[in-house]
Amino acid sequence: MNDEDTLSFECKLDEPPAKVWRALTEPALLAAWLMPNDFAAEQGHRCTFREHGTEIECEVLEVERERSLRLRWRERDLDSVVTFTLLPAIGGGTYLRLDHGGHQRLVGAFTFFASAQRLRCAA
Amino acid sequence: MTQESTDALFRALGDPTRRALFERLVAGEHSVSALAASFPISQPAISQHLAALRAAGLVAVRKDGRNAFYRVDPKGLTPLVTWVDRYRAFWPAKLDKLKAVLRGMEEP
Repeated sequence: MNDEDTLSFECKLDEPPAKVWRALTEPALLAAWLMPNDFAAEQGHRCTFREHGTEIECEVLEVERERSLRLRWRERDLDSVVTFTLLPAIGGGTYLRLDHGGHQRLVGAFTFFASAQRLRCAA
Repeated sequence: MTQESTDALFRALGDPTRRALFERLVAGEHSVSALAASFPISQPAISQHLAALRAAGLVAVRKDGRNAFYRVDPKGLTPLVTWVDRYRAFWPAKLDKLKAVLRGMEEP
Protein backbone atom coordinates (compact mmCIF):
# COMPACT_ATOMS: atom_id res chain seq x y z
CA MET A 1 0.00 0.00 0.00
CA ASN A 2 1.08 3.56 -0.65
CA ASP A 3 2.29 5.33 2.50
CA GLU A 4 1.09 8.65 1.17
CA ASP A 5 -2.57 7.77 1.22
CA THR A 6 -2.65 5.28 4.08
CA LEU A 7 -3.07 5.71 7.80
CA SER A 8 -1.12 3.00 9.62
CA PHE A 9 -1.22 1.90 13.23
CA GLU A 10 0.78 -0.84 14.91
CA CYS A 11 0.52 -2.35 18.34
CA LYS A 12 1.75 -5.32 20.30
CA LEU A 13 -0.96 -7.30 22.04
CA ASP A 14 -0.41 -9.83 24.84
CA GLU A 15 -2.96 -12.28 23.45
CA PRO A 16 -2.17 -14.89 20.75
CA PRO A 17 -3.33 -14.40 17.12
CA ALA A 18 -6.17 -16.93 17.53
CA LYS A 19 -7.71 -14.86 20.29
CA VAL A 20 -7.12 -11.54 18.52
CA TRP A 21 -8.72 -13.04 15.41
CA ARG A 22 -11.87 -13.84 17.36
CA ALA A 23 -12.06 -10.23 18.58
CA LEU A 24 -11.71 -9.03 14.97
CA THR A 25 -14.29 -11.36 13.47
CA GLU A 26 -16.99 -12.32 16.01
CA PRO A 27 -19.85 -9.79 15.75
CA ALA A 28 -20.46 -9.53 19.51
CA LEU A 29 -16.75 -9.00 20.26
CA LEU A 30 -16.40 -6.56 17.33
CA ALA A 31 -19.38 -4.63 18.63
CA ALA A 32 -17.72 -4.35 22.04
CA TRP A 33 -14.69 -2.48 20.69
CA LEU A 34 -15.53 -1.22 17.19
CA MET A 35 -19.21 -0.74 16.37
CA PRO A 36 -22.49 -2.68 16.38
CA ASN A 37 -22.55 -4.74 13.19
CA ASP A 38 -23.80 -7.73 11.23
CA PHE A 39 -20.31 -8.88 10.32
CA ALA A 40 -19.24 -12.33 9.12
CA ALA A 41 -15.67 -13.28 8.19
CA GLU A 42 -16.56 -14.60 4.74
CA GLN A 43 -15.17 -13.17 1.54
CA GLY A 44 -17.83 -11.13 -0.25
CA HIS A 45 -20.00 -10.71 2.86
CA ARG A 46 -21.58 -7.25 3.06
CA CYS A 47 -22.49 -5.71 6.35
CA THR A 48 -23.02 -2.40 8.10
CA PHE A 49 -21.31 -0.89 11.11
CA ARG A 50 -23.56 1.65 12.86
CA GLU A 51 -22.89 3.94 15.77
CA HIS A 52 -23.98 7.47 16.78
CA GLY A 53 -25.35 8.33 13.34
CA THR A 54 -22.23 7.00 11.61
CA GLU A 55 -22.93 4.29 9.08
CA ILE A 56 -20.13 2.31 7.48
CA GLU A 57 -20.98 0.02 4.60
CA CYS A 58 -18.52 -2.80 4.68
CA GLU A 59 -17.59 -5.64 2.36
CA VAL A 60 -15.18 -8.43 3.26
CA LEU A 61 -12.53 -8.37 0.52
CA GLU A 62 -10.08 -10.97 1.83
CA VAL A 63 -9.92 -13.33 4.75
CA GLU A 64 -6.82 -15.21 5.77
CA ARG A 65 -7.66 -16.82 9.08
CA GLU A 66 -5.57 -15.52 12.00
CA ARG A 67 -3.34 -13.62 9.55
CA SER A 68 -5.18 -10.88 7.72
CA LEU A 69 -8.56 -9.34 7.13
CA ARG A 70 -9.22 -6.80 4.41
CA LEU A 71 -12.44 -4.79 4.40
CA ARG A 72 -13.93 -2.28 2.03
CA TRP A 73 -14.94 0.61 4.26
CA ARG A 74 -17.43 2.97 2.67
CA GLU A 75 -18.66 6.03 4.47
CA ARG A 76 -21.10 8.04 2.32
CA ASP A 77 -19.18 8.90 -0.85
CA LEU A 78 -15.78 7.96 0.48
CA ASP A 79 -14.59 4.51 -0.33
CA SER A 80 -11.58 3.19 1.54
CA VAL A 81 -9.95 -0.07 2.56
CA VAL A 82 -9.16 -1.22 6.09
CA THR A 83 -6.64 -4.03 6.50
CA PHE A 84 -5.81 -5.84 9.73
CA THR A 85 -2.59 -7.86 9.69
CA LEU A 86 -1.65 -10.23 12.51
CA LEU A 87 1.83 -11.57 13.17
CA PRO A 88 2.66 -13.95 16.01
CA ALA A 89 5.05 -12.34 18.49
CA ILE A 90 7.76 -14.15 20.43
CA GLY A 91 6.34 -15.04 23.82
CA GLY A 92 2.84 -15.76 22.55
CA GLY A 93 1.47 -12.29 21.81
CA THR A 94 0.46 -10.67 18.54
CA TYR A 95 1.72 -7.78 16.48
CA LEU A 96 -1.35 -6.10 15.04
CA ARG A 97 -1.10 -3.69 12.16
CA LEU A 98 -4.01 -1.65 10.85
CA ASP A 99 -3.83 0.12 7.50
CA HIS A 100 -6.60 2.45 6.42
CA GLY A 101 -6.26 3.87 2.94
CA GLY A 102 -6.68 3.08 -0.69
CA HIS A 103 -9.34 5.75 -1.14
CA GLN A 104 -9.39 8.49 -3.76
CA ARG A 105 -6.04 8.42 -5.47
CA LEU A 106 -5.03 11.97 -4.68
CA VAL A 107 -1.36 11.26 -4.49
CA GLY A 108 -0.27 14.81 -5.31
CA ALA A 109 -2.80 16.37 -3.00
CA PHE A 110 -2.01 14.02 -0.17
CA THR A 111 1.58 15.19 -0.03
CA PHE A 112 0.23 18.32 1.68
CA PHE A 113 -0.25 16.36 4.86
CA ALA A 114 1.23 12.92 4.26
CA SER A 115 4.36 13.36 6.30
CA ALA A 116 2.97 12.86 9.78
CA GLN A 117 0.48 10.09 9.09
CA ARG A 118 2.47 7.13 10.28
CA LEU A 119 1.38 6.68 13.85
CA ARG A 120 1.83 4.08 16.51
CA CYS A 121 -0.55 3.21 19.26
CA ALA A 122 0.93 2.66 22.69
CA ALA A 123 1.96 -0.95 23.27
CA MET B 1 -16.72 21.09 8.47
CA THR B 2 -20.21 20.22 7.31
CA GLN B 3 -21.18 16.92 5.73
CA GLU B 4 -22.42 18.83 2.63
CA SER B 5 -19.00 20.30 1.92
CA THR B 6 -17.34 16.91 2.38
CA ASP B 7 -19.81 15.37 -0.06
CA ALA B 8 -19.25 18.22 -2.56
CA LEU B 9 -15.51 17.67 -2.32
CA PHE B 10 -15.70 13.93 -2.89
CA ARG B 11 -18.23 14.37 -5.71
CA ALA B 12 -15.94 16.91 -7.40
CA LEU B 13 -12.95 14.59 -7.11
CA GLY B 14 -14.95 11.47 -7.90
CA ASP B 15 -14.68 12.22 -11.62
CA PRO B 16 -11.40 10.91 -13.10
CA THR B 17 -10.92 13.88 -15.46
CA ARG B 18 -11.48 16.40 -12.69
CA ARG B 19 -9.12 14.48 -10.44
CA ALA B 20 -6.47 14.50 -13.19
CA LEU B 21 -6.97 18.24 -13.71
CA PHE B 22 -6.69 18.83 -9.98
CA GLU B 23 -3.51 16.77 -9.74
CA ARG B 24 -2.07 18.75 -12.63
CA LEU B 25 -2.81 21.99 -10.77
CA VAL B 26 -1.17 20.66 -7.60
CA ALA B 27 2.07 20.99 -9.57
CA GLY B 28 1.42 24.70 -10.22
CA GLU B 29 -0.77 27.33 -11.84
CA HIS B 30 -1.97 26.62 -15.41
CA SER B 31 -4.00 28.57 -17.96
CA VAL B 32 -7.14 26.97 -19.36
CA SER B 33 -5.55 26.82 -22.80
CA ALA B 34 -2.42 25.11 -21.45
CA LEU B 35 -4.62 22.52 -19.70
CA ALA B 36 -6.73 22.03 -22.84
CA ALA B 37 -3.56 21.39 -24.84
CA SER B 38 -2.57 18.48 -22.63
CA PHE B 39 -5.97 16.81 -22.09
CA PRO B 40 -7.86 14.96 -24.83
CA ILE B 41 -11.05 16.95 -24.29
CA SER B 42 -12.32 20.30 -25.58
CA GLN B 43 -11.55 23.62 -23.93
CA PRO B 44 -15.24 24.18 -23.02
CA ALA B 45 -15.25 20.74 -21.33
CA ILE B 46 -12.08 21.67 -19.43
CA SER B 47 -13.73 24.94 -18.36
CA GLN B 48 -16.79 23.05 -17.13
CA HIS B 49 -14.67 20.69 -15.03
CA LEU B 50 -12.69 23.62 -13.64
CA ALA B 51 -15.96 25.35 -12.71
CA ALA B 52 -17.00 22.24 -10.77
CA LEU B 53 -13.65 22.15 -8.95
CA ARG B 54 -14.05 25.85 -8.20
CA ALA B 55 -17.58 25.34 -6.86
CA ALA B 56 -16.18 22.71 -4.49
CA GLY B 57 -13.59 25.25 -3.30
CA LEU B 58 -10.68 23.17 -4.61
CA VAL B 59 -9.26 25.67 -7.11
CA ALA B 60 -9.04 29.43 -7.44
CA VAL B 61 -8.95 31.46 -10.64
CA ARG B 62 -7.00 34.55 -11.69
CA LYS B 63 -7.92 36.52 -14.81
CA ASP B 64 -5.18 38.16 -16.85
CA GLY B 65 -6.52 39.84 -19.97
CA ARG B 66 -8.29 37.16 -21.98
CA ASN B 67 -6.62 34.30 -20.12
CA ALA B 68 -7.84 32.55 -17.00
CA PHE B 69 -5.23 30.92 -14.77
CA TYR B 70 -6.21 28.20 -12.29
CA ARG B 71 -4.39 27.09 -9.17
CA VAL B 72 -5.12 24.80 -6.23
CA ASP B 73 -6.81 26.37 -3.22
CA PRO B 74 -5.31 24.38 -0.30
CA LYS B 75 -8.27 25.33 1.94
CA GLY B 76 -10.49 23.25 -0.34
CA LEU B 77 -8.86 20.08 0.95
CA THR B 78 -9.87 20.84 4.54
CA PRO B 79 -12.72 18.26 4.52
CA LEU B 80 -10.28 15.59 3.40
CA VAL B 81 -7.79 16.60 6.08
CA THR B 82 -10.67 16.53 8.56
CA TRP B 83 -11.54 12.99 7.44
CA VAL B 84 -7.94 11.88 7.91
CA ASP B 85 -7.71 13.61 11.30
CA ARG B 86 -10.93 11.94 12.41
CA TYR B 87 -9.60 8.45 11.63
CA ARG B 88 -6.25 9.31 13.16
CA ALA B 89 -8.12 9.76 16.44
CA PHE B 90 -10.73 7.05 15.78
CA TRP B 91 -8.42 4.04 15.35
CA PRO B 92 -6.14 4.54 18.39
CA ALA B 93 -9.26 4.95 20.57
CA LYS B 94 -10.80 1.79 19.08
CA LEU B 95 -7.54 -0.17 19.46
CA ASP B 96 -7.49 0.79 23.14
CA LYS B 97 -11.00 -0.64 23.44
CA LEU B 98 -9.86 -3.77 21.59
CA LYS B 99 -7.15 -4.28 24.22
CA ALA B 100 -9.75 -4.01 26.98
CA VAL B 101 -12.02 -6.49 25.18
CA LEU B 102 -9.13 -8.95 24.77
CA ARG B 103 -8.32 -8.73 28.48
CA GLY B 104 -11.95 -9.50 29.30
CA MET B 105 -12.26 -12.54 27.01
CA GLU B 106 -12.37 -16.02 28.45
CA GLU B 107 -9.49 -18.39 27.62
CA PRO B 108 -8.23 -19.31 25.16
